[in-house]
Amino acid sequence: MVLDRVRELIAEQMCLDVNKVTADSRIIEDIGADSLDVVEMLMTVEEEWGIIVDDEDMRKFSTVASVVEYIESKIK
Amino acid sequence: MILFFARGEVDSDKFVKHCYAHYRDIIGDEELPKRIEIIREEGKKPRLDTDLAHFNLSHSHGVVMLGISHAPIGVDIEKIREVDFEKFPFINADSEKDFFEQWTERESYVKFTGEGISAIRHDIPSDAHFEHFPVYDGYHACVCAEEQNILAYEMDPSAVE
Repeated sequence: MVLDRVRELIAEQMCLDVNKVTADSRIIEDIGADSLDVVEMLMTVEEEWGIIVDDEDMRKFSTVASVVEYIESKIK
Repeated sequence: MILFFARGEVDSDKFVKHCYAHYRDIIGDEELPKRIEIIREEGKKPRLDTDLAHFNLSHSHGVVMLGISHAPIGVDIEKIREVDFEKFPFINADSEKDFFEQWTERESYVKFTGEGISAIRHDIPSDAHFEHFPVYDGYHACVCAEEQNILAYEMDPSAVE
């Protein structure tokens, strides 16, 4: 499931317990990501699912759920 | 330009207003408004409600950096940590130090122009002007602005109301 894999990847990158990363988690405020973390996450997503995150879409990812929705829309 | 650094939790807007008061005192320009508000509009760079001062803010893992200037400015501070360079094909770095120098230049540039993260993969013009600051152990900071004098202060977050 995309959500579970995204949660795993974010938890791993941010050195968090995966249980602390939920669909509603806000990437900056709750997960504590800075700008470099966010871009690293998006690069990981591109690699993992073989998609390209369009430049204009990069600023749209506020929550884990928004990342999942984006991936799902691209892999359809 | 004045750079303000703080270590700890601090409300961004309160920090900007607190530091702006210091900026106004230090610069000694009577034309600067006594009070400012921050204007945030969707898709646009946050700005002050005056054309006489510009600001930019950056957070990274427990520290905050604020730049205030008479002219547009972009700042970035990053905690230095292990990064997989391969994930960033648009950055050609041969060391961790080089990576963080390049990254903070890119980030401060896209914040200077206001394009933000959407432009992070674009090339940076060779005439952009940067100053690097290895402030705080384990952090790297950079400011993008026209060449100008820079003062830097460390602020106490508990002093910010």
